[in-house]
Amino acid sequence: MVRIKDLVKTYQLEGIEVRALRGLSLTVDPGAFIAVMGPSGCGKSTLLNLLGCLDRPTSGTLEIGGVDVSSMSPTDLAILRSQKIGFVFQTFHLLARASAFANVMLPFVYSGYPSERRKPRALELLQYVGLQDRVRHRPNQLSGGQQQRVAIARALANDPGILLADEPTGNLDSKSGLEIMALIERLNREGKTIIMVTHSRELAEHAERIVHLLDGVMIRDEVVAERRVAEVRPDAEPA
Amino acid sequence: MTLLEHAQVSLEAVVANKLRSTLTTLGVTIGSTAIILLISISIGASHEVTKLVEGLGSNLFMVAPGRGKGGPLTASPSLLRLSHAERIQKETSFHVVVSPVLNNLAAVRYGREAKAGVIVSGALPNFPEARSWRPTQGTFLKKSDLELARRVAALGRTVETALFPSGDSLGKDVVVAGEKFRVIGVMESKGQLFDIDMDNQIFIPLTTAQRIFGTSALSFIFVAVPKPDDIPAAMAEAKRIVGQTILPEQFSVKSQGETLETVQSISLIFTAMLGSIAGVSLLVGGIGIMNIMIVSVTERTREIGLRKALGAREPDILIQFLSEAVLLSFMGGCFGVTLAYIGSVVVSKASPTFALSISTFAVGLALIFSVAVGTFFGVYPAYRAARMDPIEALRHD
Repeated sequence: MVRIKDLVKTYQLEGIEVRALRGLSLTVDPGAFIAVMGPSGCGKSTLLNLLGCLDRPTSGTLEIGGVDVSSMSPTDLAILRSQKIGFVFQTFHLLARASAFANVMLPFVYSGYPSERRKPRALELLQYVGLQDRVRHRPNQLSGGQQQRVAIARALANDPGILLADEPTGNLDSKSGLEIMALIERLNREGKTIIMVTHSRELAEHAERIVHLLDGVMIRDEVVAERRVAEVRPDAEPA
Repeated sequence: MTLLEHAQVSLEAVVANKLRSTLTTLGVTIGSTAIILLISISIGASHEVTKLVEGLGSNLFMVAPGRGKGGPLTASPSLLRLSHAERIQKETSFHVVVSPVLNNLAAVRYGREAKAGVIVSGALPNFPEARSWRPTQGTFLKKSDLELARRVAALGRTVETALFPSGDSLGKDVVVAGEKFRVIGVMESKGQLFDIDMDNQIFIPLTTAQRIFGTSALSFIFVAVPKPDDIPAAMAEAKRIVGQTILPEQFSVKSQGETLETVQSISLIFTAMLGSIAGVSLLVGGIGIMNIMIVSVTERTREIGLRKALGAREPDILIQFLSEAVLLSFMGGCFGVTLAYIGSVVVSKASPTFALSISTFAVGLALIFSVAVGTFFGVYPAYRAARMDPIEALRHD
């Protein structure tokens, strides 16, 4: 459960006060799949950073799993990130010199995951995302879609309840993009809460609900009537 | 995050940039090499001094002709006479053993074997007592040998080995300056004092030496006092006694303390030189490490952002980069140990008289210093990394 109430975030940009969020309230039920949309500068990145505990709000409350995180210390936020939140980035953010396996292993050191269970867990996750044959490959030996799968496996390492996805298919061709969406849908079916930022209406319709932001406030909370389902046929042409 | 995990992460980063890592360690490498050689040389020098003191006897001083710091073979004409030795013996208030010698270089021959450049030392029977240098075979010179100016000799170990490879020298006749001398003893080995082989020496009665070398002058008057503490007072007395008959500039009274000072001043120069090399290169090496760590932190901004997003706390990032810097400088320290070891082998090969041995203490100190440098210069870049804002860092390109 994520509960946001009157969330305000202002920051200084070259001396000018920028009000990125201006009193946003939102509740995300456990196991929900919501998409956040809006033009650039609407505050969606700021929202995602706050949800990811990478930043602290100026005012308002942000509850994650029943705990108010808005005034937590940086150290406590780091612990929370390592245990409850998984990040999926547009640009994957894999360590270039490390193998797929080593990249998935990365979060374990910060969460203190039992060391004897790390290796089997990492291999299991790589198998889950369909990369059991690419374990020792470095990111530059993998396609974009495969790299994003490694990143998703990494995000799942500590089995977080919430997955934050920032334009997860933005750097992918439409076929790989759909494959990634299918993977995200599957994770959602299996109980993960998904919060995805996107500028694409089409992708947003995979979610059950679309939150429209403009100038730091929610202008529309839309329930998707006809959800898209990412179904990849092997012979399908890229759209 | 455990220490082992930190070490692993740092090691991976260092290995990923092999050439850069190696070049970065260069300053620390030179610095720690200098530290090790510095300490080893001063330890070596103090060993030499100890050997010297032991070789001369710690309760010994000598009256030498001239003013200079000449060694045992000072060429300037000596005005020292047996009468000086006798007066020192009689007039000092200490219970001293006064042992004058007359040294000269000569060839010593036995059959077909010959040894040139041997120190032929005319001595008195009390020489072994004064110098704590005794025969291991046979006897030293006796009073009657002196009185009758006999042609007998006690051989130094080097001379004995050269002329009598099988070791049966006693009772044989060796030829010195065209005259036959009967071997009556072989002296214990005293080894080398700096570049002089003390065993390349034979001892004959002083009276005989004065006759064959045609001089009544003495090369040295050795004076042994009962206790090392008596040396300054006894030296002053000797100076006064000898000074009654010859001018102050025509003789000098020296103890091994002065030789010690010379050695110490040399090793002090060495210490200062290597010390400044060590200091400067450690400083430069540390700055080099700091520089490369700042570059590394900037290059890996996105990695830092990612690690933070994955749950790394500020101390985790700080330790990661700090241990990378320490690892680099520790590697430099290890290279330095290797280099110093190679250096010591080369020095020892080049000059057999100065055996340079690397001490464990020096190695330990150099490694401690290198780690300290890495820690000191690694803190700032690591702190910068730790303080990075994860959002900014993730957006960095």
